[in-house]
Amino acid sequence: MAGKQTTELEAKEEGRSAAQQDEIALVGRVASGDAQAFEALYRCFYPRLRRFLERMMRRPQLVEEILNDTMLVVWRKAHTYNLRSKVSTWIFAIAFRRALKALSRVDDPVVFDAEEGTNPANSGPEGELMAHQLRRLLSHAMTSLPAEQRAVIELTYYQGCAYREIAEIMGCPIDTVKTRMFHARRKLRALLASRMEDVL
Amino acid sequence: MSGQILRFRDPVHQAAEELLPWFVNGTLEGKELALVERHLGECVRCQHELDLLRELQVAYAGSEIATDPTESFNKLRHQIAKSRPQWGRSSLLRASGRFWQHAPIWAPWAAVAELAVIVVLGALLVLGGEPAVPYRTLGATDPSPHGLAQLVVVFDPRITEAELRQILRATGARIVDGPTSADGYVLELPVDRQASALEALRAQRAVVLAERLGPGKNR
Repeated sequence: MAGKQTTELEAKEEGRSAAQQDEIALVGRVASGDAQAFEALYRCFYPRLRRFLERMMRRPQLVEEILNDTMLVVWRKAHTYNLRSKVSTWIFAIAFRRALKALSRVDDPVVFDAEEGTNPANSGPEGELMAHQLRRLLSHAMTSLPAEQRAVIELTYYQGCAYREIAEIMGCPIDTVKTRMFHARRKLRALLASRMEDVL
Repeated sequence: MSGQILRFRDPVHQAAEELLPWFVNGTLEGKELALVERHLGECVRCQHELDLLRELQVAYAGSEIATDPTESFNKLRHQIAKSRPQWGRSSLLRASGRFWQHAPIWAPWAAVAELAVIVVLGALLVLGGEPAVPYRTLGATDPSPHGLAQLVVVFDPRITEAELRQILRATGARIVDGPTSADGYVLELPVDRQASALEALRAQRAVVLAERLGPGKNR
């Protein structure tokens, strides 16, 4: 069992390394003004960035703007990428800063899309219904967290980042990441417990 | 109650509990991974928390709706093209920019010295270099610097390429310039054949005009 897990981890790591090398090569070409490489990099990061910004900002009307702002910085500053971090860390750090800046400017209400990421056609079986219910509650509970805590949750649970990487993306100490995660977990647990009671 | 408080303050428990989210996403390594694994074997509370976090992760991931980035990318492409017309430009400018960023400290001085040498050599060339090539008019007495004579010929517009080639062969001339604004061609041939060639050309039906370039006795 342990051996199997190790093999899976090694395979995952090898896959990541190859993907990371491709990303580094693309950034190198973008730095020399290669428009095709930029489009490839854009398409590669679009789904991840879109998801991250949607979850962190909770304002769909701003997501595309911030995503394109982020990639505009990538286009203009690709020559400053220094290989010290992963390409994804570098790009997500830009996106995080842009998103925080945009959030500090806006004062419009947060949009809660209760049906996000769900497909009603699949909600037949009881298990799926419960999962659907939990997703709705979780999505709602997330709106009550500060943007920084939402970012930590998203980067950990969906983007699969290590806490050191998250600290680098958010430009804060490792302990701050752990503290934000701790508070986010505590709030989510409390919110989910109370709402589950309401549902049941 | 007091037992719970004591366990919560246990530094090993606290450290392991803090790391659980990254145990769940599989990014823990080395000592931290070992610490969490060891602690999970003996802490029921953390085992429950782990189950909850795994459930949370599955729920959080949810199902994704694929979106096509093409429209969004096109907007950005237009934005870049509008703000800075460098989209798809040659890498030369950026490469030179990077060169100066990473060049050794003496590089700018070397470039200045090189520029100074170029300026000095340029000045010497202008002030003391070779004489300019003299301008030669059509009426000059010696139209050919190589012992060759030059004629100007206007051919009938209906002449074929084969006829033109035949005439040139017969006279021993070759076209060196033209057509001029008046459709004339400059022919070059040995000086000793100039008179006979002129006569032969004038006899051709396909030749409208044949004259030597410059003053001549047979004009």
